[in-house]
Order: sequence, then C-alpha cells, then structure tokens
Amino acid sequence: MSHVDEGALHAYLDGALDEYPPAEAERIRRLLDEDPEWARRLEIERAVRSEAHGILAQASPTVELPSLEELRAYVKRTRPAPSKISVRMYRMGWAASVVLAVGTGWALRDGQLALSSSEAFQASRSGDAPVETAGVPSVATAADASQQEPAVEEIEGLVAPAAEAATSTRAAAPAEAVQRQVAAAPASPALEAAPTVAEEETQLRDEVVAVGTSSDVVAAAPAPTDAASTDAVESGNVSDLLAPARLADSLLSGAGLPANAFADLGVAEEQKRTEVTEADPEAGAGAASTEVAAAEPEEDESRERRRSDSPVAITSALDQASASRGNASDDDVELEILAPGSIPGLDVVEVANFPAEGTVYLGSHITQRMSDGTLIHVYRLEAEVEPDVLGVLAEGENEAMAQIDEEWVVVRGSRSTEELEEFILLLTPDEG
Amino acid sequence: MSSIDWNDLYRTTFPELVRFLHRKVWDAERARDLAQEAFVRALQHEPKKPRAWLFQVAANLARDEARTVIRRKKHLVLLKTEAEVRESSAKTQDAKLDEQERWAAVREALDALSEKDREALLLWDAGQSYTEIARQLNLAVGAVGTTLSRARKRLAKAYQEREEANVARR
Repeated sequence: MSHVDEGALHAYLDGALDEYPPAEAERIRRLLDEDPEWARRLEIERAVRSEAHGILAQASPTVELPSLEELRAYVKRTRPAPSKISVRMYRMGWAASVVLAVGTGWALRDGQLALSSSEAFQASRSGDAPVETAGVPSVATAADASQQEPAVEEIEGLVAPAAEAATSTRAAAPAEAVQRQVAAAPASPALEAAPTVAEEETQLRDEVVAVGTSSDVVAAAPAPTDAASTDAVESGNVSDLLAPARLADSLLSGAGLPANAFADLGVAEEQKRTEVTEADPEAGAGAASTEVAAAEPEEDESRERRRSDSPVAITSALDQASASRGNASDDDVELEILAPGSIPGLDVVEVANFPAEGTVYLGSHITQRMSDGTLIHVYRLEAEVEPDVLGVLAEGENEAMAQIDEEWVVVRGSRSTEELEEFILLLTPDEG
Repeated sequence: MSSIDWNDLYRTTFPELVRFLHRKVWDAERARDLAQEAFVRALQHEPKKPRAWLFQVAANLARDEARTVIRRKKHLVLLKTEAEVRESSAKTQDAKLDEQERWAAVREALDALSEKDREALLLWDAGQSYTEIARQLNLAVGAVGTTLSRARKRLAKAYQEREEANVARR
C-alpha cells in the first residue's frame, strides 16, 4: 500500500510515530523516504504545522515559575482538616443509668415501693451493699425511705425525666435520647407535676419494651439464675425475666451485661475512634465518607458520587455514628464525620434540609462554626432553585454565591463578602 | 509518596499548563493562578499519572471558571513573585493593547475550530503526547494526527481570513 494520510504526516512531524503500531510506523517512514511525492506533501504539512504553531505562539503569556517549595508549603498549610462533630459518649454508664431509672420506676409501681419487688431485688443482690451513685439515691436507699414522702418525691423526680427520655426514643435514636436525658436526671429537682407512680409504671413498661427492642439490651441480658428467675420461668411469666429490676441487678451487682450485649448496635469494640473521613477515594467509600475533594480524572463517577451525598445520606451517616455510641469504650469517644459539601476546616454544627420543615426539599443547609465562633451557613440548592428562596439576609450578614453545574451554592454569615467568597472557592468542584 | 519527580514535572509542565489555560480563559494572570491551583491539587492528591491528571484538572478548572458566576478571588496571591509584579507594572499601555489585539486574533481563530479540534490543538501545543490527547478526547491514537492536521489548517485559514478582513477595513 502506498498511501499515507495527512494525519500520519503530522504524526511524523510531531515525532509521534512511535506511538503508532510499529509496522505502520515503519511503513510510513519507508514511504516518506522513498517516495518524492510524499516527501513533497510532507513539506506542505510542515508549513501548515509551523504556521499554526506561530499563531498560537502569539498568545503565549510570559510564564515565570513560582517556587515549587512555596506551593508545597501552601498545600501543607491549607490541607483541609476533617470537619468534626464531637460526640461524647459513655458506654456502660448510660446503659446502667437507663436500667437504673427503669428499674426504679418498676420498683415504685402501685404508688408505693413494692416491698416484694424490693425484697426480691435485694435478695438477688445477695447482700451486696447498696450502690451509692453520686447524687443519685440508690434503690435500696429509696426503699428504706419508702415511708418518707420527700424521698419518694425525689425518686419520682428521677423517674419522670427517665420516662420522658424513654418516650422520646420512639421518634428518634433511642439510645442517644435516653442517654442524654437520663444523664441529666440526677441533677433534676423533684418534679412538682410528676405523673403518678402508677402512670409511670405503665409508661415505663411500654418504654422498656421500646428501649429493649431497639438495642436488644433485654434480649442480651444474662440468663436468670437466682430463685426469683426460676420462679418466673416456672410460672411461665416470661416478662419477669425481662424485668428492669433484674437488669439493674445485673449491672449494679457488678456482673454487667454480657460482652455482646450491644453487639448488634453495629460497631466493634475496638472501634474506639470511628474515622469516617479516612476512606480511600480510589477504593470507593460509603455514603458517609464520600470525599468531595479532587479525585483521579478518570474517575468520572466522582461527580455522581458527590451528587449522591444528599442530606439523607448525611443524616444516615450521623445516625450511623449515633448508633455506634452504644458499643463504645468506657472512654469518651470522639467521632469525626466529614460532612460532604461543607467548608473544609470549619466545624460542622448541623446538617439539615432546606427548608428545615415541610415536605418540599429545595436543598441542603450546613451550619458551620469558625474558630472565633462565627456561624457560617452553606446552602446547596437544587437545580433550578434560585437563591432568593433563602430570603433576606439577617442583620450584619453577608453572602456569596456561585452557580456550579446549574446548582447554586450560597454561603452566608457575619463576615465580609470577600471572606465568604473564599469559602465559596473552597466549595467549588475539584474536578469534573 | 510516589516516585514522581515533582521538581522536573513542575519545571516542564507548569509553563505548558499556563499556556494551555491561557488559551481557554484568555487572562494570563488567571491562567497562572489556575495552573497553580492544578498543581496544588496534584500535590495534595499525588495522582498516578500526574501530567495527564494536571491537564484534565486544568481543563475542568477552566470550564468551571466559565461557569462560575462569582468573581474569583486570587487566593494564591502569596505565590506571585515580585518579578511578575515588576513585569506587570513596567509594561506600557501600548504594549498591552498590542498584546491584547494579538490575543484577540488568536482567540477568534481558535473559536472557528470545533471543540474537539481546538482541544486537541491546545493539548498538543501544551506538550501532550498523542497517547495523552487520545485518552483525554476519547480518540484512537491514529486519529489524533488527523484531528491535528485538520485543526492546524482551519486555524491558519481562520487567522488569515481575519487578517485579510482587517486589512480591507483599514
């Protein structure tokens, strides 16, 4: 074959024949060497190439190299720190508090301290000294003081918030809500308008099931071994086996719950520190850990992945983190969560839908805090949603915005427009 | 850390990247900023194929530049050398006008090309190999030469036509 197309001539001129298949490259070289007609055509293409190069050269700015070391230093200084949501948690402490509060409520059923239950409780403790928790009267103390009205009120004061906490677990993360409210209970004064103990009992019975079901604490409770348990089994009263007093007993007697009591809450014991941010972008990551930063250009799915970081996914990540608290260590555990779409380096205070209420979803709203405490609001609006849906600025607030892939990103806060624009820059896509 | 020789890559690629970007954003200073931005990201992510990565990111940055409404701040001001500042201030107004006129001519000629032809030409002029261009533009390596041949011819023709039109106007 004695034909070479113009493309091959340009490849020859560009020194790119080596990128062709060897046999084809060899054929082109030979033809250009041997055929004067192709050699002439080559010169024509050379002139075209040279002319085009000359034209482009007119639009070549003078380039001075900034220092690479300065660039490196800049990278080092600005490497974004993961946004942190600190979550303090107490592993067995909160569980014990829940069971103690529930057990106390159980013991107080019928408006009086049920002596039989109290006795069984005491018996099951095999003569252990009453546990005195700081600021919290032990059950035994309360029982001893059952004839003293103020003491009963005080106990009711402890029970009411616990019941309140249990009630809240129906709608939200059970363990977390109970933990917070029960933890607050000891400091609460006796409630003046507390429900009657009978009401509390009924309520608590319901909530014990709710809490127990959600965390499987009850299911994972130690098998009954004492006389009362045996009676319960023999009488067929299985619910007695799940009695909060028994759970409280297990905890208070130092036996604790079985090691796997919280196993189904989803986090292994050794995961004291959950690093959701460490996912390798090349290896793919879960919804919670999607990194928004630049990825390999060939990874076109990164854009899709970023889109998938919907508030729902973020909420799911937070939920997952909340759930993991149930199986944390005794130490305080800090979870680090990268909120996709947030400003790197600023603490994430809240991730929510916009608007916060109602059924219409117009975008996401991330609230972040600067080191001086200034709150910065990042809104990412859905395509075709205009920024004016955000309403007027609050007094002292400024805003900056950018439209990226048809979606508006708006940053608001009590900072200068220039500073807010800097934040916008940090939020612009790293790649395609 | 990978075995990439960043010093060498930077020295050889940065000027090409600026040229490549300049012909997209038509603002020399901005082209330098974007090239720096691309390198900053490359240093952060240490891609396996940094050269191709840089050009891909640079192309995306240039595209985002066009899409983004915000007036971008030059947050890499600290990296600007004093020499650049001196150069900038020393340029006479006439020289700047002349430069802008030349750039406008080139820009107009480039605008006459199809997007793929233009991209291939700019990538080649920025030092990309046929294989790299083929990969970025989703072409066969053998088709790159043909694309470049067509792009060069059209560029030369469009530029020549503009020049002739200017002469006729005067």
